[in-house]
Amino acid sequence: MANPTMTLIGSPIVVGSGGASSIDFTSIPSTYTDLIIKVSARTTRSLFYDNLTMTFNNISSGYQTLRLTDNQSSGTSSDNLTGLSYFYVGEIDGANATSNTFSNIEIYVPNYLSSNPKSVSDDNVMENNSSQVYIGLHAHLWNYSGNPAINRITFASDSGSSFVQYSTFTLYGINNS
Amino acid sequence: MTAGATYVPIATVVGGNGPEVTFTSIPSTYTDLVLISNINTSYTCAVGIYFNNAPTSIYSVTYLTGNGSSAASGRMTSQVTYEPIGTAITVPTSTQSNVITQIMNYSNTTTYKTSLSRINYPSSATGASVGLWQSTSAINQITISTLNGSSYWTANSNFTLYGIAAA
Repeated sequence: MANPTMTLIGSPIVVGSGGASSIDFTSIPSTYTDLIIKVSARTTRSLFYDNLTMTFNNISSGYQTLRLTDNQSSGTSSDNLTGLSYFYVGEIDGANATSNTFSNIEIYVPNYLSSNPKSVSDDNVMENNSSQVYIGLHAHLWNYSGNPAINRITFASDSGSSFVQYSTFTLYGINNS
Repeated sequence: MTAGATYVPIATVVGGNGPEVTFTSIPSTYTDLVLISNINTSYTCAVGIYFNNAPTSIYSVTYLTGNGSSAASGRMTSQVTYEPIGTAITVPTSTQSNVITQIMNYSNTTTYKTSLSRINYPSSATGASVGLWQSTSAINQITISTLNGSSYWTANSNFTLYGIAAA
């Protein structure tokens, strides 16, 4: 029988008391087939919500995000954002959301080493025990010159706000053999 | 208690040889299955999944989709395969896409089999669906089809089946 996979890569990144403006997984090994990232996060933005962004290899072009979303205040919708400098991974709680509430996101990156454009899946939820609740299913494509293997993944908020203490980012590797 | 092995790779199949790929002799030793389909097609096509080499009209699906401008939901019954996003939206030919499917309790012989899929066609659609196969047979074979004899899974397609053990 093949070996079980879903292996923790490094250690979970847990934001400390000073906050963090970005989260960076560097030197991602090339020994897996797929990657999974699980996120629990909240930022200091002075709104109910913020937007989590993700880039690969510290490159800021070639990103596309197609979204299917349901927002408690505006209903269900879909849009397709092209020519981006990062992926819109999902909306996350900001400073005005219910205290101690963190958003959850799971990102699946199949074939992160391939020389084809990278097709990425993510599911995201922003809970808020009041209003402005958000759920999203996103399909992403990174189509960048040469289609390099992914060796670095960086998260930030598009508002520039910091992740608050206890925001957690965990990277796993999945191996198909 | 030591947990059982989980996320165990069972097999990988690469496209390039035709409109269907099949996993055979799937062991019954896991609780659930996860199928990662990283897909690219020669012509626009659908995705159809069927079990045990039995494409008969006992599949149904309920789906939620977004096409970049609007959201929709739908339901199809008495289908010969489980089509994770229905028939209205097809796999684009020019874009690498993926479908992630979880098949729960696949080896039991007393209940119908339920599947859950996330569909990601970045240039045309995203969505989620639940599929039902109205059979109590244990699943030992899975086929992923373009449902079109002229449309092949290209060599840039690969499909990996993982076993998930509860304990």
